[in-house]
Amino acid sequence: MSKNEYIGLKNVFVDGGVFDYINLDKSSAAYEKLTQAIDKPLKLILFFGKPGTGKTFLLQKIYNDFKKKKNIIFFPRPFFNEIEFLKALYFETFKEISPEFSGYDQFLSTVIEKLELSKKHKAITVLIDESQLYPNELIEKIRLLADSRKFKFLFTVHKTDDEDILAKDYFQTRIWETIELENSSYNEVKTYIEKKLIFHNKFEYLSLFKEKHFKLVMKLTQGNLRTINKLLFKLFEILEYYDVSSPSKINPRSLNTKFLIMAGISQGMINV
Amino acid sequence: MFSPSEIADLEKKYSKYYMKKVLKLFSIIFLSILIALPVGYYILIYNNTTNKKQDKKIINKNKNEIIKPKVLILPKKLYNTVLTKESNETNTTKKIKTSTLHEINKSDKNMSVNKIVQIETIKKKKEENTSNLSFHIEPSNDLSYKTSTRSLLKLNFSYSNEKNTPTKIAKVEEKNDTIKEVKLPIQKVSQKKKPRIKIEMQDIDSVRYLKDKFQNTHNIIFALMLCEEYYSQKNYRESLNWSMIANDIDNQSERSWIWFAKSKYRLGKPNDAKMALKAYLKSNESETIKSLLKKIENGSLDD
Ligand SMILES: Nc1ncnc2c1ncn2[C@@H]1O[C@H](COP(=O)(O)OP(=O)(O)OP(=O)(O)O)[C@@H](O)[C@H]1O
Ligand SMILES: [Mg+2]
Repeated sequence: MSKNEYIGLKNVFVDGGVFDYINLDKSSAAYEKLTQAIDKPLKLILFFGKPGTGKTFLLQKIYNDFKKKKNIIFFPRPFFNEIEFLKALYFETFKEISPEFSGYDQFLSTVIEKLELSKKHKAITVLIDESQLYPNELIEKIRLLADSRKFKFLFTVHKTDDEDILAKDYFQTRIWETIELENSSYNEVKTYIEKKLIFHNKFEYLSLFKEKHFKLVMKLTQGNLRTINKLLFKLFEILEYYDVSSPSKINPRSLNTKFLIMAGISQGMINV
Repeated sequence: MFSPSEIADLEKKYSKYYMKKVLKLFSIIFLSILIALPVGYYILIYNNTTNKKQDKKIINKNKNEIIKPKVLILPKKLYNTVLTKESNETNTTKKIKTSTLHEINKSDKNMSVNKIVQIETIKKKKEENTSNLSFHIEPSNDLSYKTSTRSLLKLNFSYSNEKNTPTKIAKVEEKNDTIKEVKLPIQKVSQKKKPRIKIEMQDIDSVRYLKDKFQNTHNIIFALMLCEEYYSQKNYRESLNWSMIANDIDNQSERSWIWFAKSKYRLGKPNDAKMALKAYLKSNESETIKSLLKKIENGSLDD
């Protein structure tokens, strides 16, 4: 095997490298729930889950699938400033450069007028990723925007263990629908790795991973997709090294668990 | 990429991790031996005083115990090592096993069946006068060879085969035969009651699995995997066949051309192989194909 092959394999697991969406049981279930929630006359939807479970990927998927059929806007990056947010919302809504706004009230009256003129009566869905980074005042303003029924917002929030986002009062009082995305199960982890390899045309390496490897990956990552990416990226980086410096130590047809453990150690998933 | 010092550091940490694991395993074995020795000693004394006239081999007649051997499929090589390990066990443990293991070993010598014997002796209440025996054949996907809890009273081995080739299917019948042969010595051991023999068999053969997958999905990946599987079994006719099926699905699939050429070459048709690769190169750029062509041309293909 040439050096390039491990670099190629490594790059399959670059986190968020390309949009290689895979249908996993949990992501499909969340997809269904989210699209149904979007169709319901709700103003606010909360979509949450631990970091790295695939929320952004799912939003991207929903956006790709509906951008042609529905009025839908996706904000993958957070805004920290109200005016910037409003201008971006204006631009995405009308696909034209936003005029200057003095503030929220002016924005709302301009937008309502313009929407009525263009006969857009259905609420525009706005997918907001990384909501936990928005300043509280801005979240308040977005809530008010939702009350106008011109927009409905899907807040995506990552839930860390030490912070219960659902307990925050602005989510408690207003959110009407909450949808959670959890870590993947053992079978999903298997499917994830296999389909990733297939998607990137690395099917010769499908047989590299055996049951014992999947089990170890599951144990080390608890089924977190981002953590799996990190672990496997390191694994192939290690193999890349051996392939260059001492190829006799590796067998391209079978994976020595040692290297997976070394990758786990280098990522702090195993403490020694 | 990693620097040599980073890898050296990782290697060191890995060794440390490994040592810790081995130490843990050893301490478990050591502890269980510590516990097992006095118990075994006690059982021996007890046996000697109560059943002096009894044949030493018929230990499982012991009122206190029930012996459940389990037979698991395992690669041939490992079977041998396990058996030698068995014979290296301490004297006390040997006594319990000889009754069953020995016979199995004997009847099995000429067989190409791969097995592992798992014996569990469980203490039971004194009211039980007879012993129950049961056999299981179970393939498992667990690749780890565990010998963690080994003691006189509990012996646990597990292993399984990683890849089943079609030749192994044929052996299924043999496995059945062996079970029958195994049956006899056991009946000898517990003369009073017939042993309960339970045979469960599932053999997963990778070729059949891949063929099923291919039937259901018609995905080129499975056709290519079949090429690889057959090629590694030196069944070049079949690998050629599947390379053509794969090529039928997608004639741009580089791997299908590679398997086609390699199989042709192995079947003594290097000219066909060369022609195919050259044809592919006419409309495609590929370093892999070029180097394969070169190897075929100077007869240095070695995989
Ligand atoms: N359905 C999927 N198909 C393929 N890959 C996925 C899928 N979901 C997640 N991933 C992989 O997992 C990585 C992390 O997913 P993502 O960025 O969507 O997580 P997240 O839940 O948005 O995390 P955070 O809360 O930190 O924003 C992605 O970069 C991608 O490689
Ligand atoms: Mg995200």
